[in-house]
Amino acid sequence: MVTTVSGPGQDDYRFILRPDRSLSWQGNLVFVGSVAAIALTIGIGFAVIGLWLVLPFAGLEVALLTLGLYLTVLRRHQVEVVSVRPDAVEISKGVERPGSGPRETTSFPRAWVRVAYRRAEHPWYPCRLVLGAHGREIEIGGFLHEAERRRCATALGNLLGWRDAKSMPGDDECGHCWADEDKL
Amino acid sequence: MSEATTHDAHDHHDHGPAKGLMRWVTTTNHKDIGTLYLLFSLLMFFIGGAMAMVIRAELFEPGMQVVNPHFFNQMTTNHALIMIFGAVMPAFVGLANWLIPMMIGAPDMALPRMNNWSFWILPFAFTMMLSTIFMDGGAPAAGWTIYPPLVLQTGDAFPFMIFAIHMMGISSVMGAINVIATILNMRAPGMTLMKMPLFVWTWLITAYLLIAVMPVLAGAVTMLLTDKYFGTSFFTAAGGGDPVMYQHIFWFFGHPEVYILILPAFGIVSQIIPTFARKPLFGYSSMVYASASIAFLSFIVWAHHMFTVGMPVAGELFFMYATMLIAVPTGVKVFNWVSTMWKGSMTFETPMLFALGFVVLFTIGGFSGLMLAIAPSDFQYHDTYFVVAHFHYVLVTGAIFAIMGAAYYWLPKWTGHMYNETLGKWHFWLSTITVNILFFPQHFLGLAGMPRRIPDYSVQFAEFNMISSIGGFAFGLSQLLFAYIVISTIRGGAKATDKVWDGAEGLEWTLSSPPPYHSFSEAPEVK
Repeated sequence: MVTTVSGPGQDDYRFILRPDRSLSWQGNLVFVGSVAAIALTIGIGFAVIGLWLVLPFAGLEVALLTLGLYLTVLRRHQVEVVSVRPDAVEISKGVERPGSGPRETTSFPRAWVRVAYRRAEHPWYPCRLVLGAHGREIEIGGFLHEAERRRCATALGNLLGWRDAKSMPGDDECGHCWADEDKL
Repeated sequence: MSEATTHDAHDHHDHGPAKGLMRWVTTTNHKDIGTLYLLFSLLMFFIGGAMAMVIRAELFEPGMQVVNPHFFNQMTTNHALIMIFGAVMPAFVGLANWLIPMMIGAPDMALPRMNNWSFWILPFAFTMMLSTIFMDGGAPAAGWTIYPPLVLQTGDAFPFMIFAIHMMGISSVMGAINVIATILNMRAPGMTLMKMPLFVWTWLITAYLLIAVMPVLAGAVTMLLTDKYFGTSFFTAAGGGDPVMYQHIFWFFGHPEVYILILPAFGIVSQIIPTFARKPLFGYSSMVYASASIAFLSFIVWAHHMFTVGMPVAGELFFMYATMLIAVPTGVKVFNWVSTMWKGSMTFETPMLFALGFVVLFTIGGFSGLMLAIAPSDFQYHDTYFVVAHFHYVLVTGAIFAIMGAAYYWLPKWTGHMYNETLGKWHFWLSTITVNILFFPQHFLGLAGMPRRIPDYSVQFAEFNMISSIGGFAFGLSQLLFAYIVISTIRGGAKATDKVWDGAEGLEWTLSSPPPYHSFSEAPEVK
């Protein structure tokens, strides 16, 4: 999902990119807690009557579930903010959770930054939206739906300028966008 | 400020997907892995089915004709283990892989690499399991419940069986974690929990059950292992252990396992019937609550498998009434399926035929289950062919009929080709007639007192056994038609439309047939 916010200045914009997410950190925590309560109660119950080998398996499994959910939630709570200011374009990447700030911030001079919508070599892979200047580049919106990424690319490209004509999304590229010759 | 870096994905984008066999070994795509699960399940269905043919050939007439008693017991044990852990469970996980992301509007499963591992553990687990047939002392032959002290007499195969069961358990747990993480966190905007298709709901509840009870199985089989090789006495009476305690621990896992094998089938039927009745599912929320109630009750009924082992009368009464209570949410489900069809514009394509076959025949299995739930009656039926008939009505005409209905229902979506409807109907009618010839006489055999798990029997049981075996061979042959239909549909056929069925509702039908490798290039719109 891409949210566009106008800044205080006439030429200030912020693009906030987030993947679809359907449960909060707290919701996941409650779920893990409920599973752990049941699995560990069963394990402890058997341990009390002497069948203690159930408990370590229950513990391992709850740990694996917790890790799996943690990694999933971490990915689903990614956020990327592209701040377009008169003098610079700043890209901040991080994870949205209480008390957490951006993990990575990259800045380009606005006059030089260019946008490229790069097609994958094979139709099975998604296209990539890249911002770059002075030999450096950064990919954004890897978690977006293809059409969302394309719309975001168009909006950013129109605002900041395209790397070259080949870097613009074509008319036929609503979903399966790919070409094998197209590199920046 | 950090230096800007090129995304890691750059490399893999440049190389493209792996080619040939390695594509399937390394794939993390939910559709590929779903396909692998389903094909593996079909293979196991035929291997387990071949074992069933050996069993029915031996039981065709009284006396020993085909195999020796020890091999017969190996066949009954491995038939069950392979059908439960190799055919039915992987089929449901395959369906979950294919369908859950498409039904909730997610691009893939939440943990794709773990998804790959959870599948690729299975071929090794079952190769190890099947290899025990050739070991000194033969394969495990103590029944799928692997009760001590009998199972401790297994030869070289014993540790291999335990390790194989652990691998199957790890695979199931990883699959369940993936399903939970996907459903909880990756639903499309607007796809609230109470808008999820019933198949997704039943799988979420199934995954919860799997997480709760798999450690119990893992612990139980590990304790068997330590009893045999490490001098412990968990279940060895000579060392102060209690073999009956194993039965409690096994069935504490085993009864929820029964619902793990049937809840996704409920979900499938709840998808198919509304499509061909051209009406929304009657009582959606009551279906969700009924599934959750069945899952809860499955934890407190385990000892109904052990009425004859001996327990206080209060215990027998508790487990009897708790078991009978399961009929209430199950009855709600059957009522809702029938109500969905009531005054619907019904048509009877093959998936609907299998769904209807499920409703009628699973209900027969449910009623024989109620008979078994009555403790005083169970003393008569226990360990007879009545039990065999009961659980085969639940698992074959229940779980497997639902899986076959699902295959016909979604095969055009998966492959982009319509299956041959005439052959599909032939498959349904042949299966339905022969499965009843196979299993219905087993009720009479059980009521007349024929014990299960025996290779020879009294001549008074000869006629019904012969009828049952003829039904078994015919049912087995009918499934070759299923394999032919599936393979020919994968290879070609009339082009399927995107929606495939007029009355189909859900996000998976908004995708092309076959769907693109990465689903939902546009954010799905949830109605």
